[in-house]
Amino acid sequence: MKIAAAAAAAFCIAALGAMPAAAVTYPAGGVTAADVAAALKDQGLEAEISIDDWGDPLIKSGSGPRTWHILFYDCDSRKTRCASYQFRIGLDLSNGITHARCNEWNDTKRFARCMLDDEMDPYLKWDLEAVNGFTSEALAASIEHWTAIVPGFASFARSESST
Amino acid sequence: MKPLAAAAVACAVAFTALPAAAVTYSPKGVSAEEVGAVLKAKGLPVEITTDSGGDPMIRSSSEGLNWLVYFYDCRGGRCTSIQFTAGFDLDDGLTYAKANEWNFTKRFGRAALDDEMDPYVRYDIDTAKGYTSESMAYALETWLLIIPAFSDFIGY
Repeated sequence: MKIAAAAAAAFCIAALGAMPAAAVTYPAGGVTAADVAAALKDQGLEAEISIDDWGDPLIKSGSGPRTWHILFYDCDSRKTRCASYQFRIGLDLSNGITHARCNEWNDTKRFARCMLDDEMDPYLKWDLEAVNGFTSEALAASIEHWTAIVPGFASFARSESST
Repeated sequence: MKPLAAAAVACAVAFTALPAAAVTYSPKGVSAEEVGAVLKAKGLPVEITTDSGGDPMIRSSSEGLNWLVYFYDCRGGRCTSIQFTAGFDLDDGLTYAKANEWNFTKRFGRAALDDEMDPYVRYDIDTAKGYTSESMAYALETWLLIIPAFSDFIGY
């Protein structure tokens, strides 16, 4: 048994060696706010966990001068593990932006999308699915990607409409 | 031989926690064939071709609506992101307000209007760094829900 167990362990370690060391595949139900907060902190970002109006987790974070949020959706009955999450930032501009400008973003950029509220203030949001085979690497990549998109959106929204 | 057989059993037990066919794609991204395989597994038509920029492109359809998968940031046949896209030719196009309503109230699928105010819906996926075949299959499920929902929303 001892030999078999040792051999089994060695074989499994060898088989797993093909996977990056720190990669974790999250459970089928998705991610917790703690999982996402840990990923944010790994990238030197703040993560303040609270609860939104629907009882789901909410994370307040930010990059550079900007504050943004991560909302959690499709959470389990304990409101702990959630099947999807959404990065979101709203910009309070004195005159808002036009529909044409927001559409220009949506037509020419990828991943995150622009939307306007009743006051024509622009929001950027990006929804991601975290179920069925979602990994810590994919989560980290989404955070890196989001923090790269946000400054471009802020400049885009603040600059004169080109349309 | 015996210890190896035991090892195989031990690993099989260890791996039963993972779904059978799960594959983590290359960190360099996915190939058109890999994405095509996920579509085919759902019984969807797959025609792999090349876009005007020389990157792979897949033509497919569901429920009578044609759509495409574009590949981005490709190197050596592997691409670090893809985009599902469907365009709809409407007689009078769509209003900006209606497109914004979609973007404001729906979670997946980005609506945009072209020069003729015809609507498009697009869904971008990062496929590098830990992207799995399971995630791809799930993204496809989402896309297959987005298309009819968007089609209904715009009155196509």
